[in-house]
Amino acid sequence: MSELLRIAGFTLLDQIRQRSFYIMLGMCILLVLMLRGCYGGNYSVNGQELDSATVSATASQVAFHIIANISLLIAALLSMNVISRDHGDGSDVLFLSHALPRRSYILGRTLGVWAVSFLFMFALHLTLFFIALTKGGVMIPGYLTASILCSLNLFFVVFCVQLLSLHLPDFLAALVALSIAGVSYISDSMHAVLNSQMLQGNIPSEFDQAPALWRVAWPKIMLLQQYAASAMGEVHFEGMGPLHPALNVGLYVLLFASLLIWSFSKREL
Amino acid sequence: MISIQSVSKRYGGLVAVNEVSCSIEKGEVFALLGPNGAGKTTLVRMLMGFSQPSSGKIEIDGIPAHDPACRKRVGYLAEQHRIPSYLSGREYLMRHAALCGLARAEAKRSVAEVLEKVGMAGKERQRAGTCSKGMNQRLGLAAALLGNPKLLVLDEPGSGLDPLGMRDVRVVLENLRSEGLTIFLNSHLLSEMERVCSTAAIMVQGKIVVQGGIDVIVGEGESLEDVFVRSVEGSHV
Repeated sequence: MSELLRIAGFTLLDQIRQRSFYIMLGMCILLVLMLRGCYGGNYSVNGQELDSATVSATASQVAFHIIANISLLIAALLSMNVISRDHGDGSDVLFLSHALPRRSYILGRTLGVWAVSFLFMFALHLTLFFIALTKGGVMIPGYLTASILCSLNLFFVVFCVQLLSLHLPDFLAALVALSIAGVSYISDSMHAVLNSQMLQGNIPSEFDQAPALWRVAWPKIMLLQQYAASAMGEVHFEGMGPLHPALNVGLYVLLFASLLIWSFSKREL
Repeated sequence: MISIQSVSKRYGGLVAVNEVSCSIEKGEVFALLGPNGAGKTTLVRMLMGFSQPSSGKIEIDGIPAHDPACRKRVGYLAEQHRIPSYLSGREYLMRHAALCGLARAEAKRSVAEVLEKVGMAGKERQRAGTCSKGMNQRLGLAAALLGNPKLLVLDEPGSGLDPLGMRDVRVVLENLRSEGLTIFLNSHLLSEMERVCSTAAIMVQGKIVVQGGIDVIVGEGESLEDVFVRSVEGSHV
């Protein structure tokens, strides 16, 4: 365990020395500044001006999803070239010429990339939490809990990209992982819309059917995000199929982790 | 210390290593020699567990080479040794020391010691990306010496070094030999090997064609180079 944490620590240090890290950091700061502007505007619905607390709560909900999605992209970009870069700069030999099991090395690397992505996401959510508190006077107690719940999605993306990058070119690995998340967004969003309180009772009978099996089994990235958002209150959450989305994503994470360890242990360095 | 038994490595139809057997005893300085493409580096990679033999087995101190436990007291210098460009020599060595299980204070002391040994003291703060090939090679050798290894596996230790650097490496190896360390060397530098090694094997086209003590395989009035040329040319006939 200590070996795994040590490798994860080295990975954190390695990541913050990459130029791409600072490009992403700059983009995140820009994003916060843009989102910050949403809290200051005057909004009216049906001619009635919204109070700052409502504006802050709504903007925070939207910002939560934007940040969670951008974090998935960051996780995919950070993890896509870890293995090939290690091979190129000799880091894999540095680690594995010692009495270090391959599983500790690959899991440590994965944990490190996940930690960087999570710190990005959590820092952004925390910033928005304080903006909502200071600008709108609204404290959303479940905001940070929701952020932590979304970290499971980051695990999914990091493991998926790492596994695919053993068999595909790096960029393609990231693209495939993000496509899996993209399909989940479309499928789960349709499900969420059809089950929304607003549409319930008004849905034509042809839409009111159980979802296809592949949709139930597909990684529930969006539904997990939706579930996390429900921790903030005022958001309706409706699961799909017998498995909770957290369990669904968790099982995929375990599957990908096992396949990653197995594939990496067979790999010729 | 090292036991290699009927080891073969095939890549599709290509046989890189063909039924190789040899053993290296404790305290021996063993040189694996051979022309380019003979399968030496493939054998070293299998010894370090980076690659699995297609058949046969390799053991270090009775532990199979694919088991990480066998590398507990093994120092390794890779062929075409590379260091992440953003790390300084010191950071690189501190990482190695941490992976050897050394506590921070002990790691600092050991790093200073090995830097002195390879002639890199005072240059350890320089980033690897700005170091010359020879300096990186010395850092690689320093890393291999960390953690008091019982066995050193050095794949082309003279690669990228100028004559002075090669002389320094030879002096380091001679000192380590006198300390009783077991050393497995893969090198092209025949004259250096002849001075340092106690045993040698010559590998050609994946097979070991000559093996034994240096004083046995090198006859009266000839050099290791003569034996090498004769073995390689003989194998091609």
